[in-house]
Amino acid sequence: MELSTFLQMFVNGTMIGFQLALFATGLTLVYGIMLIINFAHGELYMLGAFGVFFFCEQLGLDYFLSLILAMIVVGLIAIAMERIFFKPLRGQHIPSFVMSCGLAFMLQVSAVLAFGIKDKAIDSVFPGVVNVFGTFVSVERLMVSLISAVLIIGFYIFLLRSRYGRAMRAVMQDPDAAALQGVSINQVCSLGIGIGAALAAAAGGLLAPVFIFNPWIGPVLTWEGFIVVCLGGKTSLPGTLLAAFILGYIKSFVTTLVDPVAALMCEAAILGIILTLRPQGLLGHE
Amino acid sequence: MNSNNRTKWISLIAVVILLFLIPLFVKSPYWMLVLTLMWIHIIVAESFRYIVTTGEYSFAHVPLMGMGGYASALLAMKLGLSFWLALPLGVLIAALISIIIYYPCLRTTGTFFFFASFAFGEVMRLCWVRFRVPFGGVGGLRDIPRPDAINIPGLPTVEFTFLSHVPYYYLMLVFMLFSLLIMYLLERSRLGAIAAAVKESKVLASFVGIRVWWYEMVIFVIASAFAALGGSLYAHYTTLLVPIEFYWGLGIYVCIWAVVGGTGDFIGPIVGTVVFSLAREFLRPIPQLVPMVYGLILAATLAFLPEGLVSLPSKILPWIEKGLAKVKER
Amino acid sequence: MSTPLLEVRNITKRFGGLTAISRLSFDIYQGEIAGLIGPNGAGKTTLFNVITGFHPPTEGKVFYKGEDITGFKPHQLVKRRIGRSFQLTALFDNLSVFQSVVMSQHLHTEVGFWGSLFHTPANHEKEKATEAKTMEILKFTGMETQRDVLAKNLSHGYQKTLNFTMAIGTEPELLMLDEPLCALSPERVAAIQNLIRTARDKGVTVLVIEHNMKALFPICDRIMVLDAGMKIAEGTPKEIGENSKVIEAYLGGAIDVSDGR
Repeated sequence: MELSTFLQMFVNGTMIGFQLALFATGLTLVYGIMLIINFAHGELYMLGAFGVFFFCEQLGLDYFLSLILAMIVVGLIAIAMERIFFKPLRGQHIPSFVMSCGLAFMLQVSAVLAFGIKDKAIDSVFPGVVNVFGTFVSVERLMVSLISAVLIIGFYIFLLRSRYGRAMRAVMQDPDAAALQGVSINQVCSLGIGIGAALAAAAGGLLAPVFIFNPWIGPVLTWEGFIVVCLGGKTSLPGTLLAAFILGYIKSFVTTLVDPVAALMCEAAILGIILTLRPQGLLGHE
Repeated sequence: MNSNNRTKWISLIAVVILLFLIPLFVKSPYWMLVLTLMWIHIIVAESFRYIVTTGEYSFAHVPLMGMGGYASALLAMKLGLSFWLALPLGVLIAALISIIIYYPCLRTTGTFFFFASFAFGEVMRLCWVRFRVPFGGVGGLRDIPRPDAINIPGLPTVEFTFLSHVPYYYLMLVFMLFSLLIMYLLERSRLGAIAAAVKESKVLASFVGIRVWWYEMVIFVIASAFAALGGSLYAHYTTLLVPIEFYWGLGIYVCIWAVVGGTGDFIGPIVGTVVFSLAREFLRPIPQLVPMVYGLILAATLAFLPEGLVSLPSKILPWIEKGLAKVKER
Repeated sequence: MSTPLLEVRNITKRFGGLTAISRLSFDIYQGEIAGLIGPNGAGKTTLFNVITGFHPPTEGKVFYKGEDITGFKPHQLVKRRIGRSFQLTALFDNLSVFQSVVMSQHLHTEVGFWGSLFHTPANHEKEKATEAKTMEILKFTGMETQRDVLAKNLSHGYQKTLNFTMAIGTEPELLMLDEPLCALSPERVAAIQNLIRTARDKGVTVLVIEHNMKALFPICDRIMVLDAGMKIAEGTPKEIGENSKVIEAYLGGAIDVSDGR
């Protein structure tokens, strides 16, 4: 195998890993805090991409500003979703799950109404290539990884250092104890889904210049995010990071060395194996 | 046999006779197609419910239906076997494959089982996409041989061609009735009682000596065999098999038919399949709304009628009786 | 004494960082009624779970009639005639009392699969036999009046009795009961005490976890006391009642073992 091919696969895998890490962290957060499998999470990613499209292409704003705005807008949409639709069902797993499926559909339809059904794309923000060890790697993809890393680190600093972050961790560990200590469960739920949504939207917005997108890219991503969450350990945030990169590299390498279908087969197989042989995932506890 | 049972038997026989007479009244090829497919769908929905009698929801069920179709089609196309031989062999092959798929899933339950069964079913389905030889890849299999003509001495030859849906109608009808009969007997047998116990509590079932994993496996394999039967009939009828048909969409539809019809009752999936098959015909002009309408019906059912449509009579009957009583008072 | 029926050797069970049971050993002899008591969280139900195949022990072994049954799954134990009832009632909610007890006869019924599939006359006879046996069992525990009531609709007392009845239905030689007497009316308690005694008279060995010591002590030959996962005392009910360590474990106050009848 040539070095250049390997490097391409590695860079792609890293980028996909970051994409999945940003995306799946939100899923794990929502699951850990509210014990809901949010099947509308992919739609939040999709809305992030469309958000950047709206602010950047249609309103002509700077890309980074658009990204931040998209994150905020999607975060607020998610909080509204939580307050209106999930709060009444808190504690009921299956109805919440079904509700999230319904919400996913509603968000897809909204996107279609707002933006139409055609594929969309955004011009490259960081055009050009860079020469790494004799291989030409797209600057765009490197920057996506870099910015994602910054966001993830920022999220972890928030989680570990800030008061709200501590509150979230407390609720994830033991909601009753946290409530007794005066933590507002409602606040934490809203915060959790808001931040999770913002991260998903960031993932979507960052990848908008790289891949084309349309209102239906959500479900595939939700599915992959779900695999990452299960692989990492459903309530383990570090596990999610680890699993995101494992899956990212597997996807990248298998797609290039074999073919995309084989990569999908690997993903499905991983999910099946994890659920049946090691339900607690890599870093979760039983 | 008491009078209640007798009425049930008579109505059942009447319905069956009616089903056999339908082609005399319905001449439209389009509706014959709809009905013929509906018989196949009922086999798949009812066998899906059969798995639900153990308490589990399987998303490998529809992929296994496809596997039955592929196996049977390939046996006919590559080995030149007659449909009448390819069908049982295809079912057997798919049943064996279902053992491989379900064996690891036995460790899981509930949502985990649901996703694990989906995952393994998907690996199998993706094989059809990936391996152009022999499965035909994304384009699938075309020109699958139709069933050979039935030649019983003394009776007219029954030929299966593209000219008429009628022979297929009867073929599917007979297979459907056969499948329903067997699944009905199974549920009334000791196996059915054990399944009910397992569904209530796997833990307690093992504590009365039931080897839970074994009985679950038996039921899963039997259900898969029937799904494969449906798949094989489907393949040789439509002469076309594509992998995408056995993806999420159909799986969720089958689940909806069974759940909305009512998984607690044997005739639930039948009712559900019939209702949705007819409903879909009314939605022909607006195909984009189909998922939404289905979703709304599912949500409404879960909210207001969790036991499904079959529980409707028992809910409405008290109202009717009250109404009649009031009328009598006057 | 002869070989013990059940031998528990150095069982240790850890869950993550928590040690629920620590190097526990004891023997149960054929024909006795043995009691297992201890404060909440002492590890009694966990011990049952380890013996009956719910969780394998972290360390240690269990022997039944000399055979190593460590980590055996529940249905394998039922086959070997070890029956169990549950503290938090595990029932077949939507099956009737009658159906539940028929199910408990799973290993002992003559009804076969093929016969039941085709409803042969031979099968009919076997079903009648099983039904008759079931009625006998129901009468034995006084549940025949509830035979067609769904398990979920039973009163708490009857639910516990059904639990007990199903354990009996598996025709055990060793009967392990998890808190069969607590939260019951005095009449029910007396009834179950009688049933336990009658079972022993018929040759069943009984091991009972119980909180209600007033009800437990009169029927037991031997008592073992657990605290924080360890056995702290063993002896006759009288000895245990006077044991200072046991009294301490229950946080002060002498244990009142008088019958109160």
